[in-house]
Amino acid sequence: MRTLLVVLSLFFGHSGWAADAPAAAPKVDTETMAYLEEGGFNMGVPFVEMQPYGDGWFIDQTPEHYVSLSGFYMDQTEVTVSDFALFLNKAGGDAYFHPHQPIAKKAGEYLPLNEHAQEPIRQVTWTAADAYCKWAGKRLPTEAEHEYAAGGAEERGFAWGDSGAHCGTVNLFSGQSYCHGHVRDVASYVDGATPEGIFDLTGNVAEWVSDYYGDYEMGTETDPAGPEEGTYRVIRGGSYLDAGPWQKTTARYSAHPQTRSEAVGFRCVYTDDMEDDVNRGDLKTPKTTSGDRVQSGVSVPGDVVGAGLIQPLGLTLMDGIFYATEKNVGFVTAVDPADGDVSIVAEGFETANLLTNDGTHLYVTDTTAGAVVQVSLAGTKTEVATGLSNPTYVVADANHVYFSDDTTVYRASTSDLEPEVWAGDLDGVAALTLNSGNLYFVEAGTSSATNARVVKMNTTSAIENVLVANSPSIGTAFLPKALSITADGSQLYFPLQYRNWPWYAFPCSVSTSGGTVSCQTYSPPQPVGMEHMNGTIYWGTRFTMTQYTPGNDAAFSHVGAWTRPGAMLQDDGSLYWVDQIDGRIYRHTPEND
Amino acid sequence: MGLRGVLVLALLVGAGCEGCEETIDSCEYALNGTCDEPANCALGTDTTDCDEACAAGVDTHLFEAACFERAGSVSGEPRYADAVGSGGTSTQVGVVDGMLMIPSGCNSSTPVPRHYRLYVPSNYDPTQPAPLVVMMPGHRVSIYELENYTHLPRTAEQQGAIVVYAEQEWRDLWGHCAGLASQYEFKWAWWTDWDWVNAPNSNPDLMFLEQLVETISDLYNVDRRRVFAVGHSRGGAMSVIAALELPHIFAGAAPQAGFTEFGYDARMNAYTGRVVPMYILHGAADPDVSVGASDYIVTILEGLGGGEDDLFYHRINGVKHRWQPQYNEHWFEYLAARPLPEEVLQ
Repeated sequence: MRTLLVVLSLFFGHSGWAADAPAAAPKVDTETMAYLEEGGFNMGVPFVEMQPYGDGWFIDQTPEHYVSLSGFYMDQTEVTVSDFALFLNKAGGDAYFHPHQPIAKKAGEYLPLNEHAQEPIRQVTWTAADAYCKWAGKRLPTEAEHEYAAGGAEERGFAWGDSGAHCGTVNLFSGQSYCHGHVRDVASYVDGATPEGIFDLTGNVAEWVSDYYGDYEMGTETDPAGPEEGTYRVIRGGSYLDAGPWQKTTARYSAHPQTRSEAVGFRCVYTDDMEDDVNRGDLKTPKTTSGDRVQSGVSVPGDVVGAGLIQPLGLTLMDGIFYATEKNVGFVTAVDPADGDVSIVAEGFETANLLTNDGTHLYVTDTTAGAVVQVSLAGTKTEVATGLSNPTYVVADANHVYFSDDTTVYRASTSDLEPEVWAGDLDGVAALTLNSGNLYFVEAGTSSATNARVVKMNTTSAIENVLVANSPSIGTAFLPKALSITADGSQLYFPLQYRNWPWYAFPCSVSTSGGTVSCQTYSPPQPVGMEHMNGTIYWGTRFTMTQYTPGNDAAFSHVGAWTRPGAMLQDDGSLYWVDQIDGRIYRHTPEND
Repeated sequence: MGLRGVLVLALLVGAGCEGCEETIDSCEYALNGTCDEPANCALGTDTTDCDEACAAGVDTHLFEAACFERAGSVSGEPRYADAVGSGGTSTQVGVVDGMLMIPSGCNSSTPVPRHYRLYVPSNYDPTQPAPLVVMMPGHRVSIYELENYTHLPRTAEQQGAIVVYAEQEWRDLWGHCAGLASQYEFKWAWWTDWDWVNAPNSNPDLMFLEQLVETISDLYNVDRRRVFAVGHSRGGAMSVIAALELPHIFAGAAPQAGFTEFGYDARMNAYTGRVVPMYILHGAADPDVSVGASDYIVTILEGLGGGEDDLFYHRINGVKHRWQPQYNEHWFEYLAARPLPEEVLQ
């Protein structure tokens, strides 16, 4: 038999059948890769004196040094789960399989899980990533190649440009809220691609590169491959777990090559001189299979009743439809919670800040334009006031709309829209709310003047009643930041925030008839709103939605971790808020606790 | 044997050779110098070629499965050697918030809330003990701000470790600390400013940290040989204190921009316990806590017997008062390689 085999082998030669063929490996398809022209760039960041508490970079990104690179192809996407399963089936096997990967091993075959096949592979060691790229006829990029592909010769700060790292361009953690808290399919962020069409070079999963980790050196380099030896391998490109500084094209860190992470994958590069003698063919990707997997370590902070908003800030509810301002794109947008439909009602605001409704119309403050605008549901915009200085807060009932700028609270009839000064000569306004025929507002004051107040103003008589006046504990040091009143109108709640870093806060209360201020617990920093609902107060901070039940809870707790609330409201026993980062509208219903 | 079936079919189609399957029955006789497992042959069939190829270790990316098969390796092996698990059974991963009531440092008869936030990595497996990193923020820093600048979830995911951010006591003018502080003393602060001469054993932070580790150990399967005290600035100072005061709990410490003050240096100098491994970092350009503060800590630790095997110190040029997350993997692995001696475990 052995003789016959040799004869057959000679007969069929290298392109013959399997016994004479090397292990199966895919053809290199440069159509799925982007070509980076030969060129040069300044790698890293120049050393300038570091700020005490934070920069967009870290010391190991210095010194900036000039690097010349030969041309190379780079995968347009991170290597997918499906790609990697093929590698396991054809060459890698259990050596590179790990149960934490979104791959099931069934009857000796490695099958991508249904919902994960086009996500980037993760939970892979550097060794596995290196082996995959070699098997695919490619190699891992050097960190210089990765930075060049991400930043280009123009040395962009991010893959797509110099600014704009948000959930529309990159899957990240903002430091306050997660865009998703888990990986997404590759190439989901079209706006985050490089000019050459390479996706997810920042965010989604970070990526192993070939270099050992070490300090940069001064001087010009050509096709650098990093230190010749070391312990750790470099990781580039940030992940869904990483905040802005780690999404920069220059950002780098490292890990032991035998470790694996949910947030680290890889992609490969290819150069024309890499032809090998491996017999390559068009390999069929494996079918997917069903199976459960822990998707992520991060859960959402409430029920999602709307999604897809772009940096929303304001929120109001009218006839079962949510209306939100999308601050920086200048839209007022409707979200129907019944079907999730999102539609633009009005656009063209310079800065669409907060909004409210009178039951038939919306009212929007445009801070940059200095205007307050009435918006019909058909999209007609009517200016209520112009020439204001930073108009921000706006509240309304059926008869009047009240709004404020830096020094004045105004009122306009909802029928004639003629504004009048309702309270003037104020030193900043920090909140407005309406309840039972009274308007409540906060005069912000300054740290150099003891003039912070919480004022109750009768909407008929315009008589002012100061509920909270300056005291040694507020005014110069602290500032009320929002207002919420109990359903019976008897008690006013407000978060009191320290004026300076780190912006400590307390949820406090006072009777709407006046009296002693009570602050029973402390709070995470920087409150942004407050709602009293069924005996519990809820307030958003920069990081979380927090709750506290006076007289019942020993201290505050969290409705849900990691959310950056914008405006919040309550309706029918539920709390709603927009997340400024992830663009969702969340609902929290206490009965669900 | 599905792969072999494919092979036979390829032979028949490619060669047009009737009956070939009877004379060439497996990859066992390929003997062409190329290991064809597992791409074209069942594992274990192309024996001679694969034995030689695996021994040579060249181009193993093409047939690593065959070598792995021969080595009898198994994936999913325990990540940390000789771990001792606490046995907690929770499977909840991600962010978990909690709170303990601990006597106040202002008034020991008044329990006050001490919040904490856990990050449990998505690959956490309750059957495998996980190291625990206790992260302590600096003066006035909340545990919620901490994640953004320490980037520890990244390390938790990479290392399969649990991270807990531990809250300092809120020293509250209107509450339990009334009369002890001015209005500007509203702050989160560790009780590093403690009476270390007369009341070293009643420090509320040590009670909190001990209860915190026990609480998390009850919830999760914590590797009690790999519980690390880590902190920045005042939290760095507290991490050193925690390591030396609770050396039976904390296997090691990794302070950044830490210091020692309020007489604790004298207590350090009198320390007679085991040498606790430490990985110390400090920005050489730190304007808030001079790098001399860590120099001083290192000098004391060296006097206590700390040497190159258990004391690592790096002054980072150009760095100011800021946590340096790019070193997270480095201090973690340094400490993970130096677990708590088993005989120290209570």
